[in-house]
Amino acid sequence: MPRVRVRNDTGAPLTHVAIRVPGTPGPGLQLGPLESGTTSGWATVPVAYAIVGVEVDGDAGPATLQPFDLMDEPPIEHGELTYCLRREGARLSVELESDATTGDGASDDGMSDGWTTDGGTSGDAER
Amino acid sequence: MATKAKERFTAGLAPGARGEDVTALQDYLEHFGYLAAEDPEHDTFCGPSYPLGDGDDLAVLEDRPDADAGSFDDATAEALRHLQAYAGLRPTGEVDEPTAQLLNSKRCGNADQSELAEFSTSGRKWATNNLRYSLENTTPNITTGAVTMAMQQAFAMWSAHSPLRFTQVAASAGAEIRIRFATGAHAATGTNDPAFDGPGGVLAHAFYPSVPPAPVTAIMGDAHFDDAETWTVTVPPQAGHTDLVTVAAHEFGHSLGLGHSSVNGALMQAFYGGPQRTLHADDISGLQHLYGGVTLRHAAWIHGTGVQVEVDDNVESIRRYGFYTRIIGKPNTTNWYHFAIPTPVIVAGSRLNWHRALLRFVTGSTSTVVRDVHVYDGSSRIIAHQAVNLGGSNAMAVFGVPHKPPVYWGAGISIGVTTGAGTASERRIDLISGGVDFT
Ligand SMILES: [Zn+2]
Ligand SMILES: [Zn+2]
Repeated sequence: MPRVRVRNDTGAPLTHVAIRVPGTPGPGLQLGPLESGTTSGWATVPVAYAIVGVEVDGDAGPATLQPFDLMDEPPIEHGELTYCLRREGARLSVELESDATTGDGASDDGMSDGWTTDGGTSGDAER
Repeated sequence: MATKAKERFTAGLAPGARGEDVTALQDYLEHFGYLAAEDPEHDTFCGPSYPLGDGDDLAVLEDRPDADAGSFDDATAEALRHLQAYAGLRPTGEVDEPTAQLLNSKRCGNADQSELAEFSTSGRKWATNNLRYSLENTTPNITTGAVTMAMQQAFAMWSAHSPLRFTQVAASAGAEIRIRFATGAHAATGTNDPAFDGPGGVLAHAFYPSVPPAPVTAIMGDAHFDDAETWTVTVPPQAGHTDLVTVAAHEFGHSLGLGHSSVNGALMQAFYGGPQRTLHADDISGLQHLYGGVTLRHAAWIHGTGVQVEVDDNVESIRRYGFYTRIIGKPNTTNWYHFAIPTPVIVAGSRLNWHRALLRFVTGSTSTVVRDVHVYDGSSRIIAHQAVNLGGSNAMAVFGVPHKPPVYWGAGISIGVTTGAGTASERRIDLISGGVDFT
């Protein structure tokens, strides 16, 4: 099962950070609060995608990102994914960290079961 | 297939710069009327007369600042500040990031559409331009009539810019695009139709057509909406409500063969960003890549000085200039303005069909907007584009008629305009032309 985490690259602290894997029922994963530049701890999810639903709050006010659908999004069933949050004015964006997956597919074939990590924790400012 | 966008303008261009990039910027500023044109000739759609300043007329436009070609001089910076202020950006007089985005998005016509493309399609498309859709059920939050209108409006956004015609048929008719609201697992036997995930999460999904000549299966083109969401057609939506028109238009993009786009502002971006009831240039490029573009076939226009006001009491002032009517609405009012378009009904023995309504107008700020556009054939309203909320300079706003019905009794375009607070200049709308394109 994949592990996911979030990095706050919005340039400001976030008092609330939650993500929700699209297509998965139930409440989102609470991964905040997150200081600027820091990374949350890992959360294990049954499946992940390159896109993710996001809900944040902070000095700039609440913001959400809601996927329309999962068109052309292959499920990722193994590996570790870091979603980077950015903010430009009121516009929130999320991007899968490019080195979080091997190749560009982020699919089963592109992921290694033996993927290792030092296991980021909340407050981890690695870049 | 994904084509990488070639950005024409990049951030960082500032006073003192010289060269081709500056010339391109000056050409743009000339084209939209912020700099004096070296060549006063202009085409029909993108004349240099936008935007109109207070009291502008064609003669006044001759006095736009005159820049030194290829040199980012004071006149260029002044013209750029004018453009930025008009677009609601910080008037820095430099090409910063938001300005570069504006310059790269605000294109006219289709000549350079390939430069904009960041859509994806993979060659999936319908072999016919006449597509049928059916509403298999509706959602409890909205009346059936409002759901029907929402779907019409969503299809109209795509029909306006393509040869496609979308006709509603009965649920039993085997339509190419079958629309359904469903919750949780809802797959018919033998179909690969993923379950919905409850409130939040994904909002909908749709099924691509095949890549011709591969056969079409029944589920291709269908669009399903997660009925665990609270759907609305009211703009702005209440918290927790989702705009059905926007999501339907996005899903119909998939039904037509478009994938997701990475261009900011495109309807086909992967994330829902609230109501968006007009297509972005990138969406149009993707659509026309698949189905071809459209040229004006039988356009009929009426001049802006012919506009009629519905409620005189909501007008602070109205004045007709050489090529437009300027109306300054009273603060915080709504009014309707009507264009009666001369209508060629039968040409050379053949009855024409509706394709789209056309408007050319400028508002003084984004708090004064064309909220709704209703198109009439005689007494019948044949399409309502609700809550499009277009402000600023609109050299050619296009509003499709999805089913392209025959023309009978004469075309009318009624526009609902909301006027915000602010100065008289901010509350103005300049109506230049209204028209209809028939097919
Ligand atoms: Zn989509
Ligand atoms: Zn479905």
